[in-house]
Amino acid sequence: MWGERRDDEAFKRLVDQTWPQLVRTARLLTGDDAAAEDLAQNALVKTYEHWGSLRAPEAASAYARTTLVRDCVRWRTRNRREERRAPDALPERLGADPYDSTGDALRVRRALRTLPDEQRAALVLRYLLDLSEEETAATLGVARGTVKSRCSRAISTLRAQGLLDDEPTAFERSTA
Amino acid sequence: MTEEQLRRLLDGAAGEAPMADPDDVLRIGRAKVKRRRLTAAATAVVLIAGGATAIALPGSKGPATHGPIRLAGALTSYTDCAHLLADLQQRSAADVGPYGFNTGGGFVHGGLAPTAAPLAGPAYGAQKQLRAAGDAPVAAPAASAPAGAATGGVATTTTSGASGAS
Repeated sequence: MWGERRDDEAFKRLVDQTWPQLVRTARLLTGDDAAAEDLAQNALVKTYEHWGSLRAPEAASAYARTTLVRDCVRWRTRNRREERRAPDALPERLGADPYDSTGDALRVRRALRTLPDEQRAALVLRYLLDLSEEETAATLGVARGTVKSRCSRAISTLRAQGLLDDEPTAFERSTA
Repeated sequence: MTEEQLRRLLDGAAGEAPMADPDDVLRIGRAKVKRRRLTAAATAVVLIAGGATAIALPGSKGPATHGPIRLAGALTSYTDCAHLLADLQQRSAADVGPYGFNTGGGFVHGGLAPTAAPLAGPAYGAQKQLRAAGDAPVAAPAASAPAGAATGGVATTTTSGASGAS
């Protein structure tokens, strides 16, 4: 039977290794903690379903990541209208205690929500998961140059919102 | 560095991930794979059953006489598209009557009734004309007798052309 052929132990190891990053990525992409866990689990379940067709065990984590990002974008598209209609449940924390990490986290999440989905995804993959430009491009299914421009625009937006210093990034300096 | 600052900010905003139970995820994955396999099997059964039903349709000129399920025997070779279309039209025409597939049927209490039986009562249009002319009301056979008894199982609400059913 197929089920027995799957390497269940390897899959459990994959869950152990990738779960934290998947949940954290989904949190930043969706802005919703509960949905993030659901989406991460769903990405791993889909990976399990296609375990046999993955060329190598290393491809499994990339598959899960790609699935997660696509599902997050779909989730955002579905929920965007409701989000616009509903009042923001989170309290405004701008100007809060600068040492308050919760306030910082809320500010960053709020700022990320103002970014277009594709820019947010590029930024999160590139700077939270530390993927290379090539890996980010492969995950998003776009060209490397597109990743660069999306990240650049996202950084400019965050800087305009006062989240980042005015000093340009190394990437910005290289493309200037 | 701004990039370091960005990494720090994103890292803080992402927070800590709760612990996952790999067995839970594995169980859900297994259930989903099993469900998918069952769905595929059910679809295959339905397709095969559908093929067998199509073969067994009365009046079809297909290989119904070849026995129960013989999908391979149901295959027919055609020389070109025109040949295929002509044959399809011919076979379809044999199975379709004025009331749909397999000569259709009228609604009576208890479901569909065969239309092959001859009609006993007057058609609805004729009853209406009689009523309009002031004659004694003609009771619908279905109202005075058990369904299908007087009309041969055909609903009396069919408008016209019922006798044309073959």
